[in-house]
Amino acid sequence: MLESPVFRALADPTRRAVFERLSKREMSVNELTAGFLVSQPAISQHLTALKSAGLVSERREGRRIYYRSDPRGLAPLTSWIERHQALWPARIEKLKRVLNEMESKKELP
Amino acid sequence: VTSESIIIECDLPDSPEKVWRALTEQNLLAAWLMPNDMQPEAGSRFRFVPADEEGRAKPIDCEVLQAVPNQVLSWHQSEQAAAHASVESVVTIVLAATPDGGTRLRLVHDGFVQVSTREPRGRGDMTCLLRRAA
Repeated sequence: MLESPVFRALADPTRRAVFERLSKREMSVNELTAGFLVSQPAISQHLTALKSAGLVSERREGRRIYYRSDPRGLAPLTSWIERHQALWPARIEKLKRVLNEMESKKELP
Repeated sequence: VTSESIIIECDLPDSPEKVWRALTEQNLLAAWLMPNDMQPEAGSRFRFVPADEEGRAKPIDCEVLQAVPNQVLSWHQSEQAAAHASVESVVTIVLAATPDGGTRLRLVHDGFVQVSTREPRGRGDMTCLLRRAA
């Protein structure tokens, strides 16, 4: 069972949208806020949550701070998908056995 | 959040009709996937109850999106992944008859999104999005 801050951080739809916008390019809070119907303090709160989950990193340039998504933060989701990637081939092998058994049962009188 | 997808293709010697039975009859589906109460009708809700050896205790809530006999079966599923979030995804299985009387099976598992289980509104919105996409 995954118990990770990444899942909590991405559970909010606005936060998810912030993460997605910042994965395209680096932005300041002002630039980022322009694309949302949410106040700048709210966006800043989302950024704090994303930073603490390791999903967003910041870079200071003079007075300005630029944010960008850190794809390494998605590792837990990736491992969740990888688990399913490993499960499916084994399930398909089981399906083949089930199909074989269906056949042999039919042949019985 | 992710555009990744899991794709599996394989050729089976069995007819599409027979493979369809293995996908849609509850006891046969349980034998290779998980115990379930699935009805192959679009819009019908069901649950997979994972067996203990897979290490998962929570049932997986599902809804049939598409069920075209001997051709397409797809469902949306929501699985608890953390204390306050679940991962939703879509599984689509397409069957096609091959010239030798067998079946080409193509399975796509994608549309992975995390959804807060604390915010029913957000969850509903996401489910609508997925239904529209399907």
